[in-house]
Amino acid sequence: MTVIVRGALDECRHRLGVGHVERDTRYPARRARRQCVGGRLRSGLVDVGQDHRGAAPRQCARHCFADPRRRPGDDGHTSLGSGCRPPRGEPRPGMRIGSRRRWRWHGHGHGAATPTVTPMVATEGGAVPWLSWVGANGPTGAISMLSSCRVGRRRGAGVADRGRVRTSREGGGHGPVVVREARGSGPGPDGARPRRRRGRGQRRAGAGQPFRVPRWGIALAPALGAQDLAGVEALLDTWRRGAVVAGSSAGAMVLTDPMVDPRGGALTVGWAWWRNWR
Amino acid sequence: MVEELAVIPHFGDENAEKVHRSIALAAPGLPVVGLPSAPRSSADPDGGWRQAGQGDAQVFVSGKPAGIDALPH
Repeated sequence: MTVIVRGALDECRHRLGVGHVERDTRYPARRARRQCVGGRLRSGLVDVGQDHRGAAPRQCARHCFADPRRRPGDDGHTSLGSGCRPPRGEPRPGMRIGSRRRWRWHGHGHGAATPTVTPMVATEGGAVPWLSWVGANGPTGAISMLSSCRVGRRRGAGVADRGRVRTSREGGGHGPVVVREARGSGPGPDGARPRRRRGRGQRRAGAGQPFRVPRWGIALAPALGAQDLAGVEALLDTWRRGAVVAGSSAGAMVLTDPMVDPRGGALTVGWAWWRNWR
Repeated sequence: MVEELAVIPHFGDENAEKVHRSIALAAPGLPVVGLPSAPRSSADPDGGWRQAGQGDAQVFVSGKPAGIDALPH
């Protein structure tokens, strides 16, 4: 079997060579594009997309420096998660940990941190799952994507927005982690009771279960659930079984470790890093 | 799934400063491959690398140009 990891989807190629993944099915055109993507995946492809939805023109113009004065700490580019505006009610990119009503409205996968490298794996047998929003941008992008996804799901379970940062030792040697307590599990780490919110969250399964939210990516990978890594794992399993994995464009970029962060050129964690974890 | 390697796709079409940053930030000894749109590089089963197509893949190690032999085996 040959798995081709591509770097672009349909006509939405942009200057980075990474395609845009259409996930919003409310509009017919987007639904059609998504079906088109699904059709391509059924042909046995892995596509790597990058979500620029909601990015302001300033963020889209990556060749422009965010800080002309190049002050310390500026990597030359504005992060996509900051300074973005939601056009016409579309979800604002960035971490969604706070209480925002639009979270549930957009459902799983939306409102996640951008840029987003989204692996979609065409597995053997023709089943083409839309995998969890696993990224490969490493600590600042992809794996923090995982955290936002997990937060997103658990927010449906009624998770309070409070937690504490554990030390590296407490985290089992995997670096600092943010421990978030589920709603209804008692007072928060600062002694205050979780802020009550109305809604169905408290009645959902999973409420009351503490979970970890990885914050700095690579060091926190062991805390991630297998469901979050389904995409990369499926690809790795296929590769271990002897499949030929070919990458082009951003697909080639993410198959290595480290990988080049498409936002600013820094090096971060690539998919190849995960091969050591399974 | 190649470790100890970084790939810059669309080499030559990307922002030059970003490419320079990628090469400069690479750890010493880490090969950074710049792949233009046309060529492709593939790993042979025996661990060697070869490139095909038009154009050449550029390999940088420690900020300096290197050959394709510098890629990990």
